Amino acid sequence: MYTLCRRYLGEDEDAKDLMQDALIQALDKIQTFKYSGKGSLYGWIRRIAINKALNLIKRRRWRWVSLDIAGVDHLPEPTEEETEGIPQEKLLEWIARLPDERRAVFNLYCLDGYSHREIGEMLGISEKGSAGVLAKARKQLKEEIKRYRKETEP
Amino acid sequence: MSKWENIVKDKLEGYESPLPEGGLAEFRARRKGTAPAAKRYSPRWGWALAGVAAVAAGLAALLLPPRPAVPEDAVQVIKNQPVAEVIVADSADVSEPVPVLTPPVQPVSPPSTRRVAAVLPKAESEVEVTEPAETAVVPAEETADPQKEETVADEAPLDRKTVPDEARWADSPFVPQAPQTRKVRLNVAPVAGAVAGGGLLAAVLTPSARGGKPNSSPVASTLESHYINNTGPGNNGYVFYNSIDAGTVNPYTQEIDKGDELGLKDVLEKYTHYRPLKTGISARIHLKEKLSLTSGLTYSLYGSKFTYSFSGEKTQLAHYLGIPVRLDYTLASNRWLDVYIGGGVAGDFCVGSTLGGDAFAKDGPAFSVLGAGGLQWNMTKRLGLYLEPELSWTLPSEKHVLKTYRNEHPLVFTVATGLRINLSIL
Repeated sequence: MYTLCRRYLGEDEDAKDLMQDALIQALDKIQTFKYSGKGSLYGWIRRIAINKALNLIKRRRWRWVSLDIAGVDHLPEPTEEETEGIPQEKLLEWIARLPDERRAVFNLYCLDGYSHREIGEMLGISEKGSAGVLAKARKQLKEEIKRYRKETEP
Repeated sequence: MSKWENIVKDKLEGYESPLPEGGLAEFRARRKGTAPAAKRYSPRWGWALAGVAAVAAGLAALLLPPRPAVPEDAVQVIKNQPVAEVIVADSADVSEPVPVLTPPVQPVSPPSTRRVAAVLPKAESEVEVTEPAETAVVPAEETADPQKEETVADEAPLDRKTVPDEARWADSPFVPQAPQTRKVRLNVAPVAGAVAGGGLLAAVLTPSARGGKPNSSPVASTLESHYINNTGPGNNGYVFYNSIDAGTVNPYTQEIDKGDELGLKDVLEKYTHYRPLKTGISARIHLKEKLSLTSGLTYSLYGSKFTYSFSGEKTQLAHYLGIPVRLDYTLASNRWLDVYIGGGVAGDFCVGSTLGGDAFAKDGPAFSVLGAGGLQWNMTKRLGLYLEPELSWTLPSEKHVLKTYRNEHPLVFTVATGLRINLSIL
């Protein structure tokens, strides 16, 4: 749960607060939970945490006009070996560095399996907008991976 | 999804970050029932209500009719006597002897005026038909210094007697035009303040927006006189004195043509146009994520002050309803605020105007091209309060009959404020 909260909010303190809020809400509303198999409780609490995280992000979100005119992603895809060698903490650190909206879209699409339509509804943006934000998040992460590879290469 | 993203997903899915110390303290305390979760106070609704109340108060103050400063039947008739009425500025020293006025006397626009009894040579038959409060005695609430009131009363030893209503016009060929004598001191400042109540920031900006400069040099004198010659044909020795409207105002020139009968012409000596105030209700339809179409209904107030050679100072208020159509592009936004720029066109239609409190000519439509930047505070998902610095250029037209700030400055800068309904077709 804590990792999930870190993925969405980046800041450790915020993630801690979010986790506690989500757990407390789950405790308060436990009578509304319907058991539907193994893992359903975790899925329910996870959903609460994601909703809370998105609300926080929406509240503090500033969507600025991107001046990145040449925003086409020409970076090569990281190879399997390159990615495997990256520690999880490093990945979390890079994800935390993403701007709020990019972080949210990357998490929702790549890690939690939501579609662009769902993401658009959740964040109040269009499908195309969601895809555009994801492309920018991917580009930023690939740059981080490239930089890391250069630093760690012997 | 790319391969590297799948790998990232797999790596993070099973990963558990080390929980910081005391990370679950609140939750555990809550579970034990020792620390009830306190609900965080959200000022959202409080601010929303305050914003709506401010706009409502502004509109209410704007729509309330101004209280006339002079009773409507304030008409006086003086027989066989040149009439002089003196308006003494509050700042003027009334202890000094007030000169007997003969035409012409240069008028001025004192900051605030009160009407006192004129110093007149004693006449054989002098009748005042009505007793308007402002000409008989200075009202107590208008006289800050009791000594001044006493001095004025001493200097006006007029022998007055009241004539019954039925006998009022017995010997006079003139028909009383009581409604025309209504004098309304409609100050632009309270109206400006009321309109600016639509937004707190607008209220701050309003005083600085009232920056019109006089278009002629100010007159040095502190006295202002009205003089009507009573030697015209057929007046039978009586002069109908109307404290405000001595003639017909030409809306094109803002001059008062008194006609040949009196042989005098009231000339516009100076004028001041105030910057317009604008408020409105607007709707924004989001066409795309950052592109939106904004339209609605705006109310604009154009205030001007005219100083005539005989009638004195008059305030012109022109009211316009406008329909702007604009395309806005959102530069930045969060849940509470939107920052945007936009451009479009607007049509302003005059719904009425007053000069010195009386209904006046309607202006022709004004069409303008405008560009605006704006800040919108989203009180709710659908309702926002906006503040928009706006630059508009009015297209030249022959249909503008009123002299307003717009005529003098086709390029107008205003700060508009109001409520906006947010719609979406996304």
